[in-house]
Amino acid sequence: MSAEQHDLDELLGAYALDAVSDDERRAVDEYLLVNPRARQEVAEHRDVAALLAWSGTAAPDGLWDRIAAQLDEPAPELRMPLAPVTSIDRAPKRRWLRSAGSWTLATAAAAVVAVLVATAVISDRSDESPLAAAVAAAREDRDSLVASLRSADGIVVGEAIVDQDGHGYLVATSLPALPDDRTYQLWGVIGDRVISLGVLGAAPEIEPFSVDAPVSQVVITNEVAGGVVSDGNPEGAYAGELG
Amino acid sequence: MMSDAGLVLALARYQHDALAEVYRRHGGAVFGLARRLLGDPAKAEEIVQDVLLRLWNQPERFDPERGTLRSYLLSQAHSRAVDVLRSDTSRRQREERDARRTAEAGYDVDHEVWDMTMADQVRRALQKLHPYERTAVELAYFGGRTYREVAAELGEAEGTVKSRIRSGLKRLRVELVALGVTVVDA
Repeated sequence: MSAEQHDLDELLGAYALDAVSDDERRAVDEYLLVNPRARQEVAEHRDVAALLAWSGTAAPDGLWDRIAAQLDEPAPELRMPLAPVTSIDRAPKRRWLRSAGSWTLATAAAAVVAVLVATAVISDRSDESPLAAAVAAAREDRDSLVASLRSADGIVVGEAIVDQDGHGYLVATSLPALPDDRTYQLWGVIGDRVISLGVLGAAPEIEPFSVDAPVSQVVITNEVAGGVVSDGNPEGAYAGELG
Repeated sequence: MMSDAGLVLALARYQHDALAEVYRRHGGAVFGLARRLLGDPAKAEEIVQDVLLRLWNQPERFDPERGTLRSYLLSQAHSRAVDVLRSDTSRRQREERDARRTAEAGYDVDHEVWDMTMADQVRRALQKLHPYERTAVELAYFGGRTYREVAAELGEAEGTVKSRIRSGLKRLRVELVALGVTVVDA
């Protein structure tokens, strides 16, 4: 265990109680992305803290009514990403259903439209490679999610784009080339879980990937050639939030 | 009774009744924690509204595989209450004095608790901690301080306090389990 990892581990209790500085919180946030053991420890600390807060205090009268008044109007159970015209100020924020089944159902209808849109766009890009054209189409799609991938000190090394039917593209612009015995690996954060989205090689440029669940963040780590199954290397990682 | 995961899935489907049930189950605890941190019922109500509306708008942020909904909501409430505390210097100074008195007086369970058995077990578990661990945890959690602020207040090294908070939480978990309290495994 490195000294840096030891220091981050020692912070986990204070982090779980919101007792760290903003800089420390960001450092631990990044550490948790690639360390499931640390995430488990923080979750356990928070469960204990929740018991400390155990109290049967009743919420004040009328509070629920004020909350309920701020909710959106009831909507259909399942919303398609390409809904009919909706007033902007009434439109709910983007929300993903958690279940994979719902994700699949919601995106299936959109995929038909997306293919038609992508085909139309690509037809106007005859001078581009199919992959570059697909990236451009995804980037132009207002429903796509984009993340700028940054190092811990804020240097942007590329971006990830995920369109509404789960097609993703990593566009690396300034990732340092790695030696032959190392590789970059792409990870996606789904809730508190981190899944591998692909092994990128030592000098990635444009790399497609796919997701079948709502990914909130993407992370690139530096791993041994061939990649790892889990517990990515936090040192020198690049991360970005999809939004 | 619908599970936490079921409730949150219903929230994702825009079912108001599900949020009402979340409020019924956990609204009081969220309010109690925020009030304890802020000492201001009106601001505590704002925290409850903020936490519940955030869950309504972003239910996917709760992952039932990583802990209970109660733990998630209380964590959210604590984080927001701490933000409020740290943005209000005068209140902060006042709260520091109050929280110090609270810490020195030991864990004071609200007499309105609906589950006195649980409250008693938590209190007993806290008493099993070393006093320096208990004080560090209480000042950080109920006082909304950073570990550096706790260290300065107690005249201890920052690294020592950081370690005490971590070891205190681990020991507290062990003591709670020994007392028969179910601490959800994440």
